[in-house]
Amino acid sequence: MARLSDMPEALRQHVETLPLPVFEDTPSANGPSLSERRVALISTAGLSMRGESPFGMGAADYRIIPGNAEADDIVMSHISVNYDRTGYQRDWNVVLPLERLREMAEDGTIGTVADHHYSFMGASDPETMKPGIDMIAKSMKQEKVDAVLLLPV
Amino acid sequence: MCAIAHQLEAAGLPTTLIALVKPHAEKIRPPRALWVPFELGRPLGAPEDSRFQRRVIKAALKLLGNQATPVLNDFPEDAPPDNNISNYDENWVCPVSFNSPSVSDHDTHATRLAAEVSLLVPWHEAWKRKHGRTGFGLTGLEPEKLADFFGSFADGHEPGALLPGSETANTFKLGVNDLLTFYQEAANAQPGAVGNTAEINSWFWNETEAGQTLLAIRKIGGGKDPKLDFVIKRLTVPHVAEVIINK
Repeated sequence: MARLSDMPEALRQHVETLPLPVFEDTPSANGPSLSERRVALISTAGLSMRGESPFGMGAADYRIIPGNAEADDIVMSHISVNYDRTGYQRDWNVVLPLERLREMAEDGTIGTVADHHYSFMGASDPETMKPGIDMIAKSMKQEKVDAVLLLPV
Repeated sequence: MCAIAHQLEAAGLPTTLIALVKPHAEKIRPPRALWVPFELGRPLGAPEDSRFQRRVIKAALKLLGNQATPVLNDFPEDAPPDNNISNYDENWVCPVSFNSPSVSDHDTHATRLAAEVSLLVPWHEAWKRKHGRTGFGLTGLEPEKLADFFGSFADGHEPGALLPGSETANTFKLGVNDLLTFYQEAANAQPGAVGNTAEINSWFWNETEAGQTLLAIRKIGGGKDPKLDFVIKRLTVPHVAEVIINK
């Protein structure tokens, strides 16, 4: 249903006119075969651990989701009201598929699941997130992550 | 999302992403993206369908084998139909509405909302028992307290901060999220409701005192607080509600 033609007119206009960053070229990093990779997730759904400070308007910071987090540990404080939350309420994996990754590590599809995963609040200007992304990149390398799956809402 | 992928990849980390809005991925050209034809808010398409979710994840991870970037592939399947409950009436109708005698007998938003919330609390408890979790709890306040705050606001009383000592606009927004989550989870706990997202949205904005209360607050606005005014006018009532109300 995320076809522009299926969206309410006001939402479609909003999505179509969002200012987007421009990149001259697209980088490319190498890695081993999938069954040997260490996989981390980044969600822009505004997820945080229950009890941790939630995201506010314009938040450029990020939260860490530990690899052993369970469904009831997580809350969502994204500021937008214009996307479905009922799917996430029923099954957190539809937004943050940590349980699916654990199964895929178990059956050998991927190598391992990272110890740390991350969330931003996607309504914020990506330019302001740069310091946080830089920090996350260093932490991921430290942890020998070599596959990052990014999930929007 | 796409910009994050650019920055990580430039730092040497291989990335792949799910794209919900294809024109954005086409313009920003992240290293590897899988466009999925799913509803906003559901990047893996189908709750409670681990096989489907795994197919989406595998299709996205498979792109990591591509060194010639950018690559943007389409996921070939639509999400399966949402309504997978067959033992109940197909047309779910929530028994709780502002036409219920116990709700409509009251004459202010605050008292109607309090009555409505009290009818839904047992269903929210049922949701928690069934799922072992809840997305409710951003503010740390009970639903009754939220009802009192939003109802009084809609009745024209000076709102103040939802959480004393906290920033007004952000805590208002967290309160809206909590109120919506409470209603959606309580509704989804009822027989025949699971997956009827469109009906639940329609119920909330057409039938509930909570929906009417938020619409009334939007008319009032945030007064002299520009940030609160922005939250109330832009981040409280979704676009889909306009479509529902105008039908």
